[in-house]
Amino acid sequence: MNLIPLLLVIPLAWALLSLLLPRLPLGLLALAGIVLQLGTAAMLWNDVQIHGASRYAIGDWVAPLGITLVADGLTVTLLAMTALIAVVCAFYAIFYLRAYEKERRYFWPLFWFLLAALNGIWLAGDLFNLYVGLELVTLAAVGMVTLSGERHALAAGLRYLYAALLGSLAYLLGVALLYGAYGTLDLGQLSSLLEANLITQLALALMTFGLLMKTAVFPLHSWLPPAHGGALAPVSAILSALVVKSSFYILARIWMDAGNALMPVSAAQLLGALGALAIIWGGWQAFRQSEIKMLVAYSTVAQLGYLMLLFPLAIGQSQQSAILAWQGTMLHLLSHGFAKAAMFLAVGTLVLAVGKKRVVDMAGISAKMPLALFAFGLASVSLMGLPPSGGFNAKWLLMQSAIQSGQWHWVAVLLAGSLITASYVFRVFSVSFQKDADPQIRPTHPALDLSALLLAAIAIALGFGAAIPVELLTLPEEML
Amino acid sequence: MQFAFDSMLGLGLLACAAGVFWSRDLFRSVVMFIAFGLLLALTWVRLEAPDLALAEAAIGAGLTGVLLLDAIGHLRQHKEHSPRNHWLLPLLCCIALALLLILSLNARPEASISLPELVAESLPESGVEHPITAVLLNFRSYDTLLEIAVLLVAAVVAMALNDGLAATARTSAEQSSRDPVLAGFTSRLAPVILLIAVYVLWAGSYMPGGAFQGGAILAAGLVLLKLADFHIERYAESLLRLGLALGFLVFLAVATSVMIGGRPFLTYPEAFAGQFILFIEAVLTFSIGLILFSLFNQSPGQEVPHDN
Repeated sequence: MNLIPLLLVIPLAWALLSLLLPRLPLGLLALAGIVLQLGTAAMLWNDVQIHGASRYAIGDWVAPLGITLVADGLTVTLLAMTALIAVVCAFYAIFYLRAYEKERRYFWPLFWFLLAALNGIWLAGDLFNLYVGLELVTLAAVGMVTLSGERHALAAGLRYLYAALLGSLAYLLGVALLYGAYGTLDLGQLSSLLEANLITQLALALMTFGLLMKTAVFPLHSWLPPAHGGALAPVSAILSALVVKSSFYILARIWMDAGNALMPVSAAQLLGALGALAIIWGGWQAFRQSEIKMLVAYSTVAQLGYLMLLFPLAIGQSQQSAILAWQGTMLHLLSHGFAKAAMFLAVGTLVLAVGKKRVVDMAGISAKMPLALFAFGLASVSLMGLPPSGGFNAKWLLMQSAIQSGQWHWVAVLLAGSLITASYVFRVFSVSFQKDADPQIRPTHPALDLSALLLAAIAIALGFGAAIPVELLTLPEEML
Repeated sequence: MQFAFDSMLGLGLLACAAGVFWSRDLFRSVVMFIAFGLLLALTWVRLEAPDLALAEAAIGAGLTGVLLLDAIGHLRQHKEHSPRNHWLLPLLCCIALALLLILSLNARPEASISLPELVAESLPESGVEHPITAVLLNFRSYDTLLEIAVLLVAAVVAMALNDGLAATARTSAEQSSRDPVLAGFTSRLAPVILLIAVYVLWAGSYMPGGAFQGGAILAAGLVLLKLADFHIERYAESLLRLGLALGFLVFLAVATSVMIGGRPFLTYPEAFAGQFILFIEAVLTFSIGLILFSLFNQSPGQEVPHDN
């Protein structure tokens, strides 16, 4: 049996189970389901590594009439990342949500719908299908943000919804224009058909705008910090690690698969400049935040900026520089996913234990909660790009790409980004290592620390084993 | 003559859109929005897209309008509406986009792939005679499956929010007394609405219609019943959940079970494709109707929580 549809069927079936049978022990059920999904993703990974990329025509209708799913190196890597992060977050959520009776009932169905939608996006090879996937991701994510029902959560969720809907509509308009001009929605077919004309450029510009909005790229980022910073800890982790990556993934796929030759170098440099501003502005805002979860949320804004460097480093540059940029960007996407999920989980545990949200409330916490802080530290190492970590390898690849293409200004941005990251991370450390403070903490379940540590350890391990995913991440056009 | 009608339609759309934006009264904005939806439905008819026209009239104008009116009811009790001041930048963006769209559509290249022809060629294998139903339920049924998931998630989110608010507020439905005229009228209309919904569903296999339109009509009937104070929602919550999820459940079950016979995901056995599609559409109509209704039903009652 083909494994590709299983990655959609499992999460959708589990979503229905958790919705219809809320009396079951949903956490344990979820753990079983997610392990199943992890196994499927691993087997598919193995398949692609041995046999190469594969296509799957749903309903036996071939594109352009039907919808074709694509499993290539990048897809299976992201599927595996999603399952890994989800399994740890689910484990964490089982213990974390003990205090949230009401939220728990709806967390699990939304969690599963979100996973199904993410898997759907990683596998999609069709522009309209990607739109439907984005809608499902957005709605499930907004629902998870508003789970607590508190006023600030509702406001953040509504803002997120408006921003995401504007993004969706812009993307959809672009898809409609492309369909009108070329008569197909299949990304693979479009890549050989696209020509440089006004309608194509307008369509790609609209889609890019919509996806930048959904990825929260500076200056379209203002919806992200309240949504990610205000949600429950496992929700924040999934949103920052996976959800914003899905729209970036589509953006990268469209430009690298289809529009590579169409994008003017100046537009690529502009996207890079937005990324650079995101790195600086997000970092500065992270440094200024008084609430610790908001600090981590702004850190996401900054880290998303690095992803944008793909465009100036890959478009209009040599093949070798483009490959390095592609690998570096995707490795950054992976390691940021693990590190940021770990960081949100660790911070969630700290806030749960201390009962307060501000950075200054964490004074002296190092003596009481060493493991959570250690996980935070490991995640920071990867975010800062210190060796050995996935973050270091990613930045190293990006830097090599910048040097090879002679674009020294991006080297400066990469270095400055690491310094800014260090500044806001060390702010947390300087407070938490204060000797004279004696914070009152509630005991938390050790499983919470363990989950955060596990994810942080994976982010570090990517520093040693980066070659495994990077091998799979060759430029997409070479694989199909 | 047709040109005159079309230009009136276009101008009417623009006028309604302007009315939505610039009226000081929210109620007037919503009424303008509903009128906009109806004109848009007419526009789709003129563009020879009756399926879209049906959906737009039922969902865009009908149900969205009801939800918006409901929302105003809640806002009224709290604060006065302040007219928006930042309209210049969005307006300029819209005008610029419209100009670009006109320019680019004028220079549109001839599409090298003609999907309508492909659809027409494969129509005999699809099990239905109406090309749009064939696309929605067979050629691109995966999209529809996910769309149903989107609807279901919307209902789940509404339920979650409603649970969150339930602790602080409860509907005041208990106090209202049944209006005899509305009740009598509704009790006679309800069976007719049900009949129309089923007809639209059935018609979908050979002419415009189908699960979405039928579901929207069903939802409209349920909303009417609710407004007339027939409390159909007072069934066991688990039963309601099953109803909401039933369409998706059956769709997914069919999509997956065909894989046991070695077919790809969502491949109907060719000889029975028509029956499969009709069956799926029937449960979808039921669930879509319930989901759309529950979005209306889940909104908090007349008293909203005072958050301090």
